[in-house]
Amino acid sequence: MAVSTIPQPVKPLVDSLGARVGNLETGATGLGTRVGNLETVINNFLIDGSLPGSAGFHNSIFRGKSLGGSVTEAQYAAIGAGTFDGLFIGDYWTINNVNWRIAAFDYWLNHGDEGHVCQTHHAVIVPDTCLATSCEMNSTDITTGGYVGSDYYTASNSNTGKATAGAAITGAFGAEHILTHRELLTNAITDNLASAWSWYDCMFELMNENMVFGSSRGGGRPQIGINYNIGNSNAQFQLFVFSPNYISIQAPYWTRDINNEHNFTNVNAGGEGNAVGASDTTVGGIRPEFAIKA
Amino acid sequence: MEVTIIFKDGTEMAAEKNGTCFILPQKPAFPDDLSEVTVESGEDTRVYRNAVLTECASVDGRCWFTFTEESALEKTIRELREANDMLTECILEMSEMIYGE
Repeated sequence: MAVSTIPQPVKPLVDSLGARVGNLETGATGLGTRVGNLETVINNFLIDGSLPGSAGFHNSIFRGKSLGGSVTEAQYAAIGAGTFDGLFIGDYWTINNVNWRIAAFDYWLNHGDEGHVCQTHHAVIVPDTCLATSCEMNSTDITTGGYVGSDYYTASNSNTGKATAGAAITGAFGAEHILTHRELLTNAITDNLASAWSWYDCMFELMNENMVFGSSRGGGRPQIGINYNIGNSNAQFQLFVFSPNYISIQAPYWTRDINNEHNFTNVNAGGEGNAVGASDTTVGGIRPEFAIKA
Repeated sequence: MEVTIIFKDGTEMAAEKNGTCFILPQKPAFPDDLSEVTVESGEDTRVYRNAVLTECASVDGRCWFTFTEESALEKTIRELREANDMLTECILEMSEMIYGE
């Protein structure tokens, strides 16, 4: 039916509908422009870092961008100021053939015992690969003394895991840029469980299960043992929250939780939490956490 | 944090507290009676009843230790285990006496 033949009572309704469609088209065009503007704004923010400068904001965006082969002075300044301009979760530097990936911002800020509270802005780094392999936690399958009592921690019984990892970290960033912070670490075992903790100065440590999985798995037995394993490092790194694929690196690595009097926990090559004898060198990977500062 | 540890026999030790651990320059002779151990700081007082002493890993040569409390159930289990161990020894000794091995 041609428009001209529309019965007179209906024609005003059709005309009105046509006008509304026209308005809708205009509105949609305007909306498209606004979306385009928003994209530009977001892109500009991501590129020039003019987003709100806070750890909370930068912890909430995964980007995964390569930041080059070294940390620039501007990047260190942004970390020092706590603005983290141009830095986002998942971004990484490739130094000495290792991808050093940002896992969290200001993770330990305000943590610490009296007189040792962390007040330094920092970016937590976790390497994409193990810094040492075929390492054991202890020379026999014991967990006496907890994590702090292990051969790995004390570099006893010819255990070179910690020294090797430390050399790789300081070689990449320089010791002056590694944050010394306080963590509660297990140092005793009673009745098959971690049973005590103390505050220690830490530059780099094995991750606990909570940092990786967001909960305790291999070490997750009676609550009291879990508490000691978690300590003050009690939140999952944002890297693993937003992109869990970074948990698995197709190679096993140790985590520092006590499973029982024989086993430490680990993340195996398939990415699941596990617990194995402390002297098992087939687990062996050292993939530590640490933080860089200005 | 500095604390004073007071044992039931009156022995007192001034120690440093770190987390759940206490730290002394060197390992002391702990009293045998740990039925009541009081830890006083400037802020509060904690009393451990039927305390169990656990030596912790030391990273600096000093003596690190902690106390936990033995629950009634844990106490019963421990006493049963001790009784069982004693009975086992008796049976083995009697076996040696009878069979000469």
